[in-house]
Amino acid sequence: MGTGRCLKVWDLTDPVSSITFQPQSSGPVLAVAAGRTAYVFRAFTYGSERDGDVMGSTLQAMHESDGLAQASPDQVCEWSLCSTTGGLKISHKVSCVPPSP
Amino acid sequence: MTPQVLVGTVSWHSRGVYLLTSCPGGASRSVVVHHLPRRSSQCPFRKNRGTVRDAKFHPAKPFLFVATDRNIRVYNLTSQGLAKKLQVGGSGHVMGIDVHSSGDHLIVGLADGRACWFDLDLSSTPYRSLRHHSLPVTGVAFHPRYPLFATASDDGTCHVLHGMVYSDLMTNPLVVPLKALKGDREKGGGGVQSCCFHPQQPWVVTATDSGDVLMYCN
Repeated sequence: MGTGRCLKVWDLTDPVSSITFQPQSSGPVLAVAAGRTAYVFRAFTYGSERDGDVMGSTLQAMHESDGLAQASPDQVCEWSLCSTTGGLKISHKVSCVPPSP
Repeated sequence: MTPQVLVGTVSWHSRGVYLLTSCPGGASRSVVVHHLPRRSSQCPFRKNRGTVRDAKFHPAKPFLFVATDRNIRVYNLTSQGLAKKLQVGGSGHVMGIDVHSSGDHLIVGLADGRACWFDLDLSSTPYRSLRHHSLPVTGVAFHPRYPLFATASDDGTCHVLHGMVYSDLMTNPLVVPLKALKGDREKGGGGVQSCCFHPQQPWVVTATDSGDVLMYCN
């Protein structure tokens, strides 16, 4: 903010419709809506993250489960690791119920 | 028929554990709540109540605000029921909402150029309806610390207003227009698509159609 210089650019392919910072996190964690996917990732990492950090523990659990969340038949979204951002990718599955007029 | 599920907005719970996504074309799956530590997602609603434009958590209480085209529904997540239904009235549909840090006030941006202030303790109709914009209000935002709020519009302006909220229930909120920030529309730029405040400073940041991000300082 002090210099007005762009520090980092993430190419998420789809147009970005919404973006917001996570409150009460040890580092700047972003949530971004682009296309059918919500991305959650750290904008920057400042060395070691604070113990109990939600993003850190979630990413660690994702790595331990080979990048996939527990699958359930009624799962509305698919959780995976994102190679572009180094964070989480939450893909919304296509709804089977048409919108009412 | 397979509707396209595009994520419209993302919003965090104040503790940063839950993430909320709203998908305008998602029918009964328009609102999805994600729990990060559990890595799970769930749809809190079974019925399709209309096109969801925005959704926000209450900053302190287990309430969920869901804005559809014509109204804003406030759900109690503990009792899993509808707590309140706010009517915007008029002809414009809802473009976006923001909840005050106290959780008792709400601003709503509308497509007919109005911005409505709701006092949730007072009424289910707007306490004030502000007509500062000639084109749709695309974004609204409360400052998390200062008594300020902003409205962004397709007309290329962002209005900053003083919005004082009193802890005394008998005193109504004080809303005073402060400044109309004119972007670069006069220089050929587009409308303002979104606005937000700096978390500590009384600074407002706007995003324009032309791809520019402008920051205004006090």
